[in-house]
Amino acid sequence: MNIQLRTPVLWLFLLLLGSCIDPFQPEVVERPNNYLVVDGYINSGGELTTFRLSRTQNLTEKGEPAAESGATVVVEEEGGAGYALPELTAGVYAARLQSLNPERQYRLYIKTTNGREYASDFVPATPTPQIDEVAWQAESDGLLITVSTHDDQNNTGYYRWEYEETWEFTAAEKATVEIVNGQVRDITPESENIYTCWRTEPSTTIRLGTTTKNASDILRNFPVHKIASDSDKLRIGYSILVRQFAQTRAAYEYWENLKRNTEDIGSLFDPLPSQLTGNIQSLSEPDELVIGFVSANSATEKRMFVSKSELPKNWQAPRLLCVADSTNLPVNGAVEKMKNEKYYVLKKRILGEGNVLLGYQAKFRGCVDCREYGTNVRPEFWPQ
Amino acid sequence: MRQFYRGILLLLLTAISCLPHAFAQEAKQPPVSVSLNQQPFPEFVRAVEAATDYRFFYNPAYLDSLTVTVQVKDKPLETVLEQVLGNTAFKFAIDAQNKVYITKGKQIQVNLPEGFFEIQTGTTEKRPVLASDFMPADVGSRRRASSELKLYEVGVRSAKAAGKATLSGRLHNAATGEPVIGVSVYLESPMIGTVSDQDGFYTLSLPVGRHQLIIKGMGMQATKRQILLHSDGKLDIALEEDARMLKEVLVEADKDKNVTGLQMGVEKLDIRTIKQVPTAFGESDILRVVLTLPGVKSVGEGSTGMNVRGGSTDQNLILFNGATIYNPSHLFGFFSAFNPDIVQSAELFKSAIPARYGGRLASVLEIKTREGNKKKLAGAGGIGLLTSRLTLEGPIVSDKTSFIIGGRSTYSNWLLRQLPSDSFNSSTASFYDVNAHISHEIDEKNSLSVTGYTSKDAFRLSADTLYRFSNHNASVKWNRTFDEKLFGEFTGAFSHYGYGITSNKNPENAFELDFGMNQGNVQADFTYFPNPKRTINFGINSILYSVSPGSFMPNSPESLVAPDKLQNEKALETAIYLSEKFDLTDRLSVEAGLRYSLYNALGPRRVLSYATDAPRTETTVQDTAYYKAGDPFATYHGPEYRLSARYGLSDNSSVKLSYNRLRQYIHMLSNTVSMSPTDVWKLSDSNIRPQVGNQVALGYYQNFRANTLELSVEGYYKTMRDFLDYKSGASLFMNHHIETDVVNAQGKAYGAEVMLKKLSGRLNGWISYTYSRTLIRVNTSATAEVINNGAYYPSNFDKPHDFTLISNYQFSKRISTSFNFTYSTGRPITLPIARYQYGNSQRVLYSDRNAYRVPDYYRADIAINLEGNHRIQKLAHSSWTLAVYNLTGRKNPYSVFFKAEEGEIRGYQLSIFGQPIPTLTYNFKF
Repeated sequence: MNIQLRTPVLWLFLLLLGSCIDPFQPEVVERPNNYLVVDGYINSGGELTTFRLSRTQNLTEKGEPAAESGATVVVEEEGGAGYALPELTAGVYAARLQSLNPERQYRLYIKTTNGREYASDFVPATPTPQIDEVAWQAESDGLLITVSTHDDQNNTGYYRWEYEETWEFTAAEKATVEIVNGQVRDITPESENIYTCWRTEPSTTIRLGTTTKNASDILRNFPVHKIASDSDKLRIGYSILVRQFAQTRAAYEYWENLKRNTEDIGSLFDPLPSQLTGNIQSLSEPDELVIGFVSANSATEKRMFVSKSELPKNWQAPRLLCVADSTNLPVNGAVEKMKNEKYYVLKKRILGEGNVLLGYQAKFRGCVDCREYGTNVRPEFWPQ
Repeated sequence: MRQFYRGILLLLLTAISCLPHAFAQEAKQPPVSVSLNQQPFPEFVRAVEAATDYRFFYNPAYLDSLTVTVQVKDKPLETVLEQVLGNTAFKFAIDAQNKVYITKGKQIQVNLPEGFFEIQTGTTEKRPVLASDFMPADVGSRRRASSELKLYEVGVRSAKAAGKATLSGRLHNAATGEPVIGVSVYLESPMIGTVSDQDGFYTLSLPVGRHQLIIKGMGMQATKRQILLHSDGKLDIALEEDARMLKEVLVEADKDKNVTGLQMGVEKLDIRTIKQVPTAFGESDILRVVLTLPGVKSVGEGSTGMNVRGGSTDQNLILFNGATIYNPSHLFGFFSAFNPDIVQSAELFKSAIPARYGGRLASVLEIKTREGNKKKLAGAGGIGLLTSRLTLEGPIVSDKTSFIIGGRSTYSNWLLRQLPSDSFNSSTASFYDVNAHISHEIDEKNSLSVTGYTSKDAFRLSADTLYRFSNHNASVKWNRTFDEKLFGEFTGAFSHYGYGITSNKNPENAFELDFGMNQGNVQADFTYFPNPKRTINFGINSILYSVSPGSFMPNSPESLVAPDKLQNEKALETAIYLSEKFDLTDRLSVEAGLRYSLYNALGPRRVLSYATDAPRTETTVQDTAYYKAGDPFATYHGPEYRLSARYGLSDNSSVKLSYNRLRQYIHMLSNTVSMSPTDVWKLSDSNIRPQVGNQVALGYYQNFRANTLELSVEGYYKTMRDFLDYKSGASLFMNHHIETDVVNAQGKAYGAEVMLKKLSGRLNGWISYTYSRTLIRVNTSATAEVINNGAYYPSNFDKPHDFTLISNYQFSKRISTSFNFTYSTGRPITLPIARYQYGNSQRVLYSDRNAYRVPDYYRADIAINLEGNHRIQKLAHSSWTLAVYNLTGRKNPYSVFFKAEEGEIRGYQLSIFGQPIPTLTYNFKF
């Protein structure tokens, strides 16, 4: 807290409020650490089972965590067969397993290149009920996405959801010219679309729900996500794919703790951080910490679409503004200059009196080319 | 001693050399006028000698340090000297030639006994010893009328003058009429003694016959009474107050109580001690001083929650004149809730807790207020940087009824508004508290006192959410002396604690959250002295609790908040106790006590019951039962043992042992590291069992150098069970089934405390070193979650090493300085140790709970206290205190937190006082 000590009164009061906050790097935090992280679940419904193996990083380290390559990853049935998961890309092991027997238990077995062996607890393969409906409600401050589901057998009780949001958006500014075959020409409907794009993002927050409080295993309009009314996502059209997983109680608690731990801790009245215990152990070194919780379940999913016209009229995303640099190019040499240009794209002609072409304006790519933030390929599911 | 004799010899020689004149002249004694304020004695001598023909003879080595304040006009020197020397060990004698002899201890005989010269002529200087032979023991002619020498006959004279009789009475301040508390009344031989109780009463059982009763205590001039005890009887004693405001005794206790008392693990702080210790905001703070005692710790600065010998913050019973205080702090704990001008003493019991107290596992902190001045209207106050306070006291009915009322408030709101920053401008922080106490002496055998206390805090951090909390307490005490052997005290008290949070940030979310609890208790305590070797305490007390654990209500018409209210809780706790103290031999004494407590949780209540073998969750609810108002639905009861024993190894050393069991039926739920005003108090019920704690303590005590140096070494081992810890990330906010979010924890604590106290002299204070551990384990099958694999882990306040120095040096009667130094191991924390990618997001991995520590804590404080002059007749006595808190500006981390910034996770430490904090306080008394 760097406040100029200007008045004596302030100085006096700083005694009360002017506590100091200083950087704190205990040795343990800087010590390199290298625990195995197992992220994924066994898909018992015959869809792709994917596990991502990586290593933890030092807190101060930047960049992506190191992938754990070259490991042997096997899904094992208790007292039965094993299904190997081949490595697709570095650290990503995946395979489509045949439908697993809900009466049996399964576990994940891993052997890393350094010869260490790990295994999860045996977990039951829980079938996930279908999603009855993904709906939306316009609330005063945003769009609430809800899920309805039920289990006639009253077996599920614990649910977890992931989702994938896709929304349509445009670049901030529309280019009127483009370079095709070394020639500057007007953009036409046949030109490659760089103005309208779609962006897809996975959920980063953990969404959990339980019906154990309810008389029966039914969830009706359970909120899974909320989008602020002024969000960019609601500018044109918005779609969400909700994926549902039935969880065991242990898995549910693991995710719940993980969720709570993601919050900030440490100020005066904040709760203590909680401890997380997964279900994966090292077979070679029992004390070794392994991060992750393996569960086996099927997945069900449902998509929902909402367009701008269905939303309240007063919901306005802020005007798109692109204040980034622009640069002017002479008529001759503009094409040459743009050939290997990474940051700028040609945007429009600069015309003088009597529509004399004086040159071209080039603008920061992010302002003009929506592909910087998404794809211009219309998703299959996107309504026409 | 050699010097003493040399002095006597010198004086004697002088006297003898003048003898012929002494017989020849009949000098008249001229009157003296002198006005001196806080001058050394030689100054006084110079002034008198300059104005009159008196000549003084004395040993400067003794009298240089004596300061004199005197204001007389045309008084005989004898009177003046009585005034000047009356309270000291010095005696004076004036001979016929107006020569004045000042001696220490024994008075010079200016008239030689008859026949002296026949025996001694010319040989005096060779036989100086004789001089003392002729000084009569303890007969000061000028004090003949004083009550110290009068022989008081107590009881009815009867023929059979044998056996023992009980002497009782009350000590009171001769000037104000207030009872004098904690003063020793004893015989030197045989060594029989006691200490006056909280109402000034004392009782002694003595052999019938003649005794010299010695009365000594802090802040009072020592005195004695000659008594002739015939049978049971009464003797009230008036004591003179020591005129100096700051006396050089730190921790109150009779000098040898450390060794001879049966009690162990007790620390009694007098308000004078409390006032000597520098604090952050210049105001004397009882709880801050309590925190410097060995075995008492806190999580960090800015929290008044204290942890006594490994107990959690809710395991301390804080009594304010018999009423329970639930939140003893103001302004996030920067101030304690007790006005220092009202407080008389604070007594902390940490190992052998007397049977009359119960209901908390770790300690009892009993705070007592003063009685108002019974003679005249007086006041006191202080002006500090953040707070000011004022106290008034005086008689309602002279000598019978008095009042004292004190108030305190802060001007921090005004200060906040002066700040240029908006976030400070819109913040508020304020508090006030008011204490009132009336004491009334009905007759010799009955006295009554009424205390009221109310406090309120409100703070708003950045314009949005307002937090407020308040304490309201009232208590009535009636003391009755049934006869010389049986005393009774009847107490009724009411306590309320409540808090609220109001948010008006936007109308849709505006809410008001309220918590409140009330406690009413009645108790009767009796003390019976059947014979001199036995003391019996017995009594009964009953507490009715009523808690409104929370209501969450919309706070504006547009608010979308759904009203929610947790069901109220009610319970009745009743306990009876009996304890007896008896001396087995001269060296061995034992106190054994039993307290039996019975607890009933009362309806109306909706009670969930859970499957017994499965973890408690909403899913394992098996049944819901409804109980009508007043129906007991859960009952717990159990014995609480109290045992202590003392064995005297010698006159100066002893060994003590104690064992305690305590039960606690009320729990504080908090999952923040410090005590915060929004913690929830929860009563035991069918799903929450009471906490039980056991403690064994062993101590060795020795006094050195005529009881001026006290050494105590205490070790303890403690177990606790069924106190509440929280499931990771438990939600305590408006939780309708809190039992699913808490786990029963087991704890053990052990440690050793070494303390060396120096009670008198220019330099006084204490040094203590504590080694202690507090470990917790959560390992019950009833929880899905096992913390740290079910192994013991350090609690939040486990700080193994602790060193404290509290010192005070008196340069003169008016200038003193205090210096404190504290070192302790940093408190444990749970650190994030790594980050990883999981579930599409960056996650942080935490270490085992409390596996690491924040850096060590140390702090040095200094204070200089300047007293005004000590003239007794003065409009107001005043003093200035200049203090610097955290002298070295050490940034002691209070908490550590981590934030994701620019793609990396950075750690920060928050220090509450990161720089030296100077304060200036003006105190006055009139």
